[in-house]
Amino acid sequence: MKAQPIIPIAIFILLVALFGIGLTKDPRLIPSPLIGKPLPEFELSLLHHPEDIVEKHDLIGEYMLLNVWASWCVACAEEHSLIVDLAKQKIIKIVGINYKDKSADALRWLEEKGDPYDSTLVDFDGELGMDLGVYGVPETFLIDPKGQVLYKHVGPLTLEVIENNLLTFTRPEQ
Amino acid sequence: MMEMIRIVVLALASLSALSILASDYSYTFTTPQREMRYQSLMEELRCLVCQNQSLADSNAELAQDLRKKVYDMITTGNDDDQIMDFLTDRYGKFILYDPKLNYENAPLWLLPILMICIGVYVISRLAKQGERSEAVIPQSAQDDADALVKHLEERSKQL
Repeated sequence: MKAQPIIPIAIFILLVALFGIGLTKDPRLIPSPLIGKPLPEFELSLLHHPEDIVEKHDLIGEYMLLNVWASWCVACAEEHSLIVDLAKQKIIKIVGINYKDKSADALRWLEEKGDPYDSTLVDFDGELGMDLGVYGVPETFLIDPKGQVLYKHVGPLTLEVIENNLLTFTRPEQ
Repeated sequence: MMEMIRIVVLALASLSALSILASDYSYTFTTPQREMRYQSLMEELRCLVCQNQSLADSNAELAQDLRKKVYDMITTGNDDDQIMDFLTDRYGKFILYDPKLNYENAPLWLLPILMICIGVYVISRLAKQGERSEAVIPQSAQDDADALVKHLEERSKQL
């Protein structure tokens, strides 16, 4: 058997390509096991009307975005104006989940920056957050009319994400 | 020199104080077995915010919540599999530091075995090649060697 230099070189190039692809991926993005699964059940009070309790079946029935945010979260402020703009277009229902926050701070925050949410639920102890697998606010979930999770975005929203990943699902017939 | 040692000892002592701070939660368990299960689960679960730390090491708020959840699940009688399932249903297999063999990670587990097989094959091929080359010593070299042996034998007889 003569030494064949082509084989080690081929293996080397293959490995470089493999590691090269690995470098372009963000290790902080963790695939959600929730995609394609029903939204978990919950019973939470409303930020603006703490005496009212909202359950899952009160919300589902149309496409909606669930936006998990908190007043202490810097990146939430970053994406907020985009959400306000999206709400003005009235394309999709947007529900806020105020995650592990003080309600007084949250109310003040919405007053200052505008309130784009159809309703805001208070997840004070982060229980729904845990059921949703939230590990870094802000996170945004797209829910279909049957209550299935279609998409999850971790981190501040961008115009691109809204256009390409969130709104495409709401107009599938085109 | 003593001064140096003192500084190093102080630095190490403050480091260990930090790790005590990180584990400042005091959960009590009804049995030592439950406590041991809790501790080993903490080492096996990854903190999702600070990805290179286990739940035991991390001081992130999410890690505190997850520690509490695991504690609650142990005290209400859930076994380890139920706790792992609860967490992987929500956060995915990424939360496990030691994931079990499944279809997704099978290549990762099987690749080293494949590599060893290839290595064994290559080495055995090389060894066979070595044997073969031993068999083809040129006749002239063989003659020279025979002559040398003969010569040495005669010399040793003379001595």
